[in-house]
Amino acid sequence: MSLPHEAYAGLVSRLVALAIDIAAVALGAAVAVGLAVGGSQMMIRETPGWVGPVVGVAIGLLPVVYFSASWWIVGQTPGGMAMGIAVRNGDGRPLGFPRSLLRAVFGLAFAPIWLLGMALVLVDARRRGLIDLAFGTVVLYASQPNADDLAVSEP
Amino acid sequence: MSYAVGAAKLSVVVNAARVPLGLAVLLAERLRADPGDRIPPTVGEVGAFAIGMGDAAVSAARRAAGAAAQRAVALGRRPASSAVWAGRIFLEQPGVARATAPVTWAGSALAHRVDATVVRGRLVAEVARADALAFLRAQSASGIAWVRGEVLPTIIDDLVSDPKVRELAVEQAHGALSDAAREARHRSAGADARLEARVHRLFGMLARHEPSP
Repeated sequence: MSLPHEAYAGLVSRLVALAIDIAAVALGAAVAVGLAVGGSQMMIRETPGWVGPVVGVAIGLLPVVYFSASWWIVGQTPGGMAMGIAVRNGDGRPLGFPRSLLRAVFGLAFAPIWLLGMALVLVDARRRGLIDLAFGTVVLYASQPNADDLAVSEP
Repeated sequence: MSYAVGAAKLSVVVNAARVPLGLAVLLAERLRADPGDRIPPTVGEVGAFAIGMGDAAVSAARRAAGAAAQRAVALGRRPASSAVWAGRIFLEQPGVARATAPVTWAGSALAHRVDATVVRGRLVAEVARADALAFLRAQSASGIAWVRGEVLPTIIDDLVSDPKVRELAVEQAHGALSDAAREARHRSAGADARLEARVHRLFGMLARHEPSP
């Protein structure tokens, strides 16, 4: 069973979902910094030197963990849940952990290319962006029929 | 009379014996009033006479049993009405006036007495009505204050601590959020299709993917 063109999420929905995710990650980073610095100030009245690097690493890993875990576990980031879109393999199955991690790492590492590559959504038959073409994924409206029934051959 | 609304202690100074009479007057007004009347009709002449007779009798006998006075007034209302009307008609006849010239003075005095009784009855009815109104207002204010101070906090506490009510509130909030999210998804999906169609038109692309009906 193949899905119609309108079953795939378009550019506006994906950008809005991405904006929500960026806001959530920024909020999480701010909370982490606040907890680390404020907590150390409150407990020992100073900020140890190791807090900065640890918090830096945590904040650096936070977006990767956020996106990869969301795609792997439920197929949707919180922004995707809000906008009702989900990431699936080209055959409709949920993403495995390796593909989720790679998609997140490369997407974040080459964020400008990820964003520019989204323009392909406007012209692709299955509304795939560059990152989808690279990793063999599609983004569907979550209200569509069970994605497991999807049987679309990879181009 | 005086009463304070909203204070913890409500004090009303009314003539307790007149409250039942005032309530009866108010009830009679309600029963006689048309639905469109903004000002209820005052006590009628017969009623005023009966009240005046009752008040005079009570004053003369110095008996202050309110219920007994009510019953006496009620019982005397109809006969007194007939007596007043018949007496006036009888005394206004010319032949009777000539024949009863010696008693004209007595008749005139009786008419004056009747008028004075009516005026007295109206006055008593007005005072009793005011007392009854004050009593009713004080009682209703006291009842509302009791409900506000005792009943509502208890009900609110029960509602707040009721798990079913909490569950309903959570479900309602969740439903509102779901509705908002559904609306946002619907609008963004429409924007997806419109943006794509404009891009296709802009670059002269053929509509390779006709929208589903």
